[in-house]
Amino acid sequence: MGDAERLFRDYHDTLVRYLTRRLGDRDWAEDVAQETFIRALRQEHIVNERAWLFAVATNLVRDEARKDASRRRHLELMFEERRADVQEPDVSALERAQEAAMARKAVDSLAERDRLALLMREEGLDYGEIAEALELSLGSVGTTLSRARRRLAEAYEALQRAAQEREGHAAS
Amino acid sequence: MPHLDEGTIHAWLDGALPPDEAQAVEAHVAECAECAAGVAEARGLIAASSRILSSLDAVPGGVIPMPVASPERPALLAPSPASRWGRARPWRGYVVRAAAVLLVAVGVRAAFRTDARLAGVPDPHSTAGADSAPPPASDATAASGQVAAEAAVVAPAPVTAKDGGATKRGPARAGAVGTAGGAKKTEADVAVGAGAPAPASREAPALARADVATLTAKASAGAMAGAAMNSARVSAPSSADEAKERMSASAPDAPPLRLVQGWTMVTTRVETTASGAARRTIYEVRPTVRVELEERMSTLTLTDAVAQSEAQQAFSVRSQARRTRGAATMSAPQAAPAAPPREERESASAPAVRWTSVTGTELILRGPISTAELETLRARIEVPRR
Repeated sequence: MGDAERLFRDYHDTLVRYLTRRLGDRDWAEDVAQETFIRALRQEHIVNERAWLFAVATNLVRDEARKDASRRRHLELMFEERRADVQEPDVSALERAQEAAMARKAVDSLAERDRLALLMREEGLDYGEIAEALELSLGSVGTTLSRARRRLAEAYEALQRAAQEREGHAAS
Repeated sequence: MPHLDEGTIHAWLDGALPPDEAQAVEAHVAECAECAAGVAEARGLIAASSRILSSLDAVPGGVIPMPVASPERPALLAPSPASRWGRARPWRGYVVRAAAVLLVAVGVRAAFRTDARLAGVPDPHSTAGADSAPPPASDATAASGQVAAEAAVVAPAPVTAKDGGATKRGPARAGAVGTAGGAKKTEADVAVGAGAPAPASREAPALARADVATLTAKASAGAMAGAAMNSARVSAPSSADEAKERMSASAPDAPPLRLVQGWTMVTTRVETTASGAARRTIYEVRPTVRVELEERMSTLTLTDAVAQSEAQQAFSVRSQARRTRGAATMSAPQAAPAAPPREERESASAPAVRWTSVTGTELILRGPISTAELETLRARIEVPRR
């Protein structure tokens, strides 16, 4: 079995999930993952494959970050349009959508480095790999992760509280 | 020892500290109430983060306008004609092409990430191959990340070994993972990307690896995926071989049935059994609402379909509200004997419309929306042209 197949088999799923969580769009994530694998094939020697792949994927995302803002605006418009079309969505679907939206917001509120470290950790990268991929010192990974987790949870809770308050107002 | 800082606590819980340091931390936590509380809090934060992040996985594709593909993309991973086709071109010659895709399959306990999210839609796991075992624990795809994450909160001990991916991505992920269906199953999970290239996939009747099997509709890295499938193949039951042989004359690339007016196709998958094949395609019709289009073809129907003339384009539509299988099979009598019991997989709560094409393909559209709405959606399915 060649390197190409093995790399793809070993890392495709986890890389795409990481990118999807980062980007909010699976097709886009697939494209970035694909480009990452292409680059991996061109690379002659990679010491730590997983760290390398995540680092390259992260850089590719960064390269596109400028386009991100306009895409997001477009996306929000589309969502608004769609929301207007929805007549009576069932409650659980609505709740899931709300949760996902809050999660997205909370994740977006993190500093980029914190967010990436957390997403990488969620994909099973160890501290050494995260340090390598993000060019951090090994000793700062724990601090980065703890900060990321705390802020994520706090941001999410704040959004939840705000949503509950809105509901409370609506009900009264 | 001074109190532990938060970063150290997280590193310890993540199993990232060297053994001697980890021991020191453990000893300190045992006798310092303040730090023990910090550890408990950190566990909660870790679990909460995982849960929050996992709720990001229900993201459909295609919601963000894509940039134009870079021109220097090398051939190996360039989108195959099939995958481009699957994305943008009108649907053609479906039945003939579908036959080729059928090769893939056996066992049919597909790790199908969207199933659990299809509220009210029957779980295909329950209809696994005729001889399948009772649902194993891994079938609990409905177990949400939350449940798993909460389990993590009460986990008594930190992970002390370097865990790589395995420990970290334990049960919390198995069912909840979205993107590429990370659920690992040992059975011959089957799924094929719509654009999977023929030469390799034709030889890949069964896949042992869920992560290969879950190449989604996009099957982006066509050639690579095909090769991976090839390398991952396992021996297939003879029934699948037979089916494959019978279908070997047909064209390789079968795009999924497309729906007009901009639905998002979430994923598509083809299953074969001794009696035929079914493609299941999940479409997101609006945020978080997904419907499943099932196209059932008996092996007999397929071979017939290959021989059928071009004239048979129109659909003979006999859609009915749910559970009107009688009507559907009347128009496709040749498919009837081969069709497995349908009732088992249909939950009472999932409205469905079903009809039969002139080629004998039985189509079922189901989802957590009203029957009337399903009918409307059905009318928007493109009529195949060959």
